Amino acid sequence: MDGYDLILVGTGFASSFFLKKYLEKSGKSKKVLVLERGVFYPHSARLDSKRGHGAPKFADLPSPDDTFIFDNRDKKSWVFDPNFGGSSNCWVGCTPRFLPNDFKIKTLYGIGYDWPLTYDDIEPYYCDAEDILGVAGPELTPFPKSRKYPLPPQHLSTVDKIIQERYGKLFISQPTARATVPVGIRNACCSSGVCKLCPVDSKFTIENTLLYLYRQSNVQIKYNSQVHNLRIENNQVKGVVYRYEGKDYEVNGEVVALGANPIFNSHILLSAGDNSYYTGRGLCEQRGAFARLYFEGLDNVGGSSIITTNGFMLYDGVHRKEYSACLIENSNTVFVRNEPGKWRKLALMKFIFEDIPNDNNRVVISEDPLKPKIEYSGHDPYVDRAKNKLEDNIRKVFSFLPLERVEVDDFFQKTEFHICSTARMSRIPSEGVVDQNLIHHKFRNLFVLGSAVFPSITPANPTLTLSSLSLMAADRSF
Amino acid sequence: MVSVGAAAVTVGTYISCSSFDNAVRSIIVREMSVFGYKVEVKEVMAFVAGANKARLWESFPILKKELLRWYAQFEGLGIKLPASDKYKWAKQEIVRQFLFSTNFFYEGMDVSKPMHYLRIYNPYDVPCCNPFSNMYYPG
Repeated sequence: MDGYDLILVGTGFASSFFLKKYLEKSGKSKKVLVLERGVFYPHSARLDSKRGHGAPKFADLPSPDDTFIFDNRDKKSWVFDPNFGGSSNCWVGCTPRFLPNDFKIKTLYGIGYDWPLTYDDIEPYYCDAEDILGVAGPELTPFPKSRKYPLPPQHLSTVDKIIQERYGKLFISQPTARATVPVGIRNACCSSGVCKLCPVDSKFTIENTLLYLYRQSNVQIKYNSQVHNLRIENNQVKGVVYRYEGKDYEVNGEVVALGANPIFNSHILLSAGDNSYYTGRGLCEQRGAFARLYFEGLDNVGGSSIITTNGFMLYDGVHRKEYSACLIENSNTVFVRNEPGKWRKLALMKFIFEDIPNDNNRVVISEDPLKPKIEYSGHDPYVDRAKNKLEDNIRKVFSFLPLERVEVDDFFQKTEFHICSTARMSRIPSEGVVDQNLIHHKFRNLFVLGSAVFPSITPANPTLTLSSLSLMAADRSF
Repeated sequence: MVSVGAAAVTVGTYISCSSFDNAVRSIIVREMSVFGYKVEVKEVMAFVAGANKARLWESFPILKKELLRWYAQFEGLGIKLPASDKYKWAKQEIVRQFLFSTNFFYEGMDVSKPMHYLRIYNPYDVPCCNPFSNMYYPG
């Protein structure tokens, strides 16, 4: 059997940022094997498909829904892209940082779980990740920063400017990996409003920025290779088991890093016999709901990108003892109010609520070794309490605007595309699965990467934080 | 009694047989009329045909399509139905798709000018065309 210094599972944000730092620290003498369950489905071919002339070889790629077993799909979706670059292919590129208090919500508010690290611990890696992602962002932010954003901020709309005047750094141009100026091979965002697949390749993807990592001479990548188990001896991971074209293969590695999503990371751990109480438990993501704010005599125009701003007015505070923190996004898609002269006297805002990981929402193994089963009974009532207050809170927070009426959608979106927890981080083994360096408490040559390790999830988009954690883990460990 | 029942069955049968395309057409024609746009039915029909060819509505959840199909029949009868906000938002999506598929924004949103169907709006064919963005409202 071949042996490798590092076996990396997956090619999404968690894996790619870990690999970048690992290669910087370890040099070219180390042999790396990357096992990617999907294929390389390039941006150009994805665009072809949207224009109605996609290549047949990409027509039958598995849908994420086909990769796991979930009995309750109508209520909830879990969305990701199981191909090279992972969810960088379908993310929107929103990159707010977490707030310092997010790392200690148990201590401050008595709910959820504290992280075994602080905002100050991760701050330098936030800066590095923002540089790699090419984040566009403002000077003033509700979170402390030791380095400026590398790209200038997105433009605010007319409504945004009025709100920002009232709330200052609690209402900011959204930090985003949708480029405001050309960077690398990426173009500047031009507000096409379909970021899931950017028509002008503006948002950061692994393909447009970090593909070179996988082309280095000491890095070998194998596609269509789904890791589903680990080979463990005396609490040491000796290698991984992966399925390629219907047959299982084993390969040895000194170090193994799991960079699949939280569903599959925990599934691999469970298949390998990891008996930590928390492995697989706590599966959750944020819940989002839309509201429409109709204005009298105020146009909402001139903003750039798909989301212009993030509002933190309902985010942190003592209310978190009672109900969820909420992050606000002001949308800049091509919506119209269908009334002559009032086309854009309307704001479409999204309100995103944090959930609390619930041990009974979990990933378990199924009879099919390649397919995890999801047992999910719903989000915590903590979220509903926040949602129930939403209309009142909107009226309070935006009372100074010339509101004609407010319409709150009573349904949560099926997904926020942010699968979290299932292998939470903790200081001691009895309280989690991995330590603050993302190393498994029991198997000390095994890293678990990505949002699987989040002890609490906050309402902020997780990608920047999970990417920063990968940089930190590799930096501290090699 | 018999005639009321028969009428109910007839209405129910009509609604259940009425297609989603009919709902789209009637919604657009009605909305255009209410707000005084100048558009001929043939332009709306061309849009409906183009939408089908482009499989535009495949991304609509079934429940949303059913909501549109049923509620479009009752609109104008003065009946207050539950979830009317959802129907209004769904209608906004239909009308938005239509407006972006015509010359409406090229004409500066001037309702006095006749509207013509051009092609189904696809941001992958025509990116960067949010008419309310900073590209069209600089500064």
